[in-house]
Amino acid sequence: MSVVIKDLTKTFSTTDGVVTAVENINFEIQPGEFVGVHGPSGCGKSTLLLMLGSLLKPTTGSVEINGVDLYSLNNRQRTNFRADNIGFIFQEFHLIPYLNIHANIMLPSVAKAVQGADERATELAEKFNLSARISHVPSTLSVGEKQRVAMARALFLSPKLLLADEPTGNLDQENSHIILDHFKQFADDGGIVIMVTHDAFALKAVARTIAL
Amino acid sequence: MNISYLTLKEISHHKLQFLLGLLAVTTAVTTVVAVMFAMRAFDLQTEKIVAEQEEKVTKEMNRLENEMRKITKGLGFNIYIFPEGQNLNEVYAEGYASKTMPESYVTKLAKSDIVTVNHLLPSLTEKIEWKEHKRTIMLIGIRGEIPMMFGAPKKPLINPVKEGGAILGYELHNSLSLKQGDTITIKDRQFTIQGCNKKRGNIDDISIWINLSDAQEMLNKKDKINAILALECNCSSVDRLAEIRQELTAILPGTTIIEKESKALARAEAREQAKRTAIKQIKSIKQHRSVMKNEKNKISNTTTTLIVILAMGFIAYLTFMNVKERVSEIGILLAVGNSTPTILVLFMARAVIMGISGAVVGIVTLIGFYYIFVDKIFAGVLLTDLFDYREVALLLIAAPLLTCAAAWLPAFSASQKDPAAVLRHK
Repeated sequence: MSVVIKDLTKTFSTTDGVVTAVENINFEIQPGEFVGVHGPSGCGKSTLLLMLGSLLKPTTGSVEINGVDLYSLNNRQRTNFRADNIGFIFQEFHLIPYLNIHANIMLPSVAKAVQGADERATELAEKFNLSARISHVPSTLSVGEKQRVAMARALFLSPKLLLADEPTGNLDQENSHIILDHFKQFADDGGIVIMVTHDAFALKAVARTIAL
Repeated sequence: MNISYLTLKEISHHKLQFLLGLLAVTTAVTTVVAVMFAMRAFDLQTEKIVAEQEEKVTKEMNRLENEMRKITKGLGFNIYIFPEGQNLNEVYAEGYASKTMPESYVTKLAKSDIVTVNHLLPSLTEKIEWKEHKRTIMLIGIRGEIPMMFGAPKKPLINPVKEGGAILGYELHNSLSLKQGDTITIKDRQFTIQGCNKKRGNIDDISIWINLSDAQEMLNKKDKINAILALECNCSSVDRLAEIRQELTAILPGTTIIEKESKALARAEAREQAKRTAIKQIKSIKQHRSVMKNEKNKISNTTTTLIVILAMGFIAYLTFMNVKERVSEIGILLAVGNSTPTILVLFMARAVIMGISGAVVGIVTLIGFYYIFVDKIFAGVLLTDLFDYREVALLLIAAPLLTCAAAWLPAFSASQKDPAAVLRHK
């Protein structure tokens, strides 16, 4: 799987006029790459990530993942493509407060039925050292644990592409290190990780950086 | 994992919010069912009152009818036969008929085989000036009873006045201090007082009864009479006058027949009056109950509509708050590959559960409510008579539908949320 970005631009209409969030971006990422996207606040890092994740349609340009132009697909196809291929990790974790860790990990199974979903969730919990907290709800977890749950959830459907938006933003160095190690491992296993960050420590872990 | 799992988990997490929604649905359903029950109880009560009243009337009518039959059969009733062409207005105004008919009519009638008449009394009546005593009197010539030839001979009810004899009404003998055996002169003709009647309080009190032949001579109406009084007429049917009229006019065509006031007639009139009053009473009860029902309907419809609208508004507000609290959840659900219809179903499933549970709790509450207020509100009507399973089934469908309608707008807005905007904002 490869990611090819061509002439990607995104503008927003605001009351103060048209604001350009991302302008004419081009890059290509190959399987096994762990890429860091960095730049100052408001430079459009998160916007770029959402466009890569098929959640935000660019004003111009294209996003091709594994040869598929995401925005030439209709909504249903794009949703299915996202479920099949892309995992998301956010700074704010976005865990469901009323579900325990096990259920939070297997949340993607609502969109796509998975055989052995329970076992898969248990396996991921073990992988991210969350077995002891499997029946706990998110409010009882530390931030590091929450981010690991978010990562386990992102990996539940075995995506080929991981998109992380400031994943270490709320973490201490130790927990950041754990998360970054998992990203490296994911890339080493043939996946692509695109991490948006302004954390210098996190950027040290990536193989390639793209500055905005 | 599926939507129902997520929905149930979410409900158990936001218990208070869900219970408030449930309370709104329960209140609306309880109100609707209570109104339905109360209106049905009212209808059943009306039916009961009317049925009781109708039964009472039927019983009373039967009693009166039987009583009248007995009276008619036992006592008979009296009729007047007037000459052909006699104006009845004149009879009622003057107290006698101006036209005459042959005296032979009474013989003809007596010889006939009619069975509805027992006694015949021919008479010739005229209002005259009793110049000897300067007053107006009713001179009545009677010949006594003509026996009916058909059937067993009956004992005469009224004895004839002898020729030259007279019977005086109360006012006449009392004011003139006359007594039996005294002699009086009427139109230069002398009569011996044969009898003095007691006070009757009618025209009889100024009447003098003499022999029919004397009257015919005095009034120059030889062999004429102007009325036949038929006494103790017997008929089995309630409409006895029509029955007698049919029989008599076949023998004496053209004669006019009216019923003389009698106990039986008074009873019949009383019966008819009672019937009319009872029917009027039932009509009035129905009318009154109908007006009451309309008023109750108006109030209950307004109350019910208001409560249902308020409940729907409250549910819409609660769903809107729920959506607001779950924006992050919506964003992540969309990010992990759920479609917008899934988000819509997630919120609508919650509304369906709320609607069905609310309906069930509402119906159960109402049943409890029934046992507490069975007499005060539901007029003691049995629950089984108030409970209509089709309506309950309809309510179990309508409640979730209305809850869904209330939750639709916020749920739809949730499904239309832009995940990028939600996640970027967060």
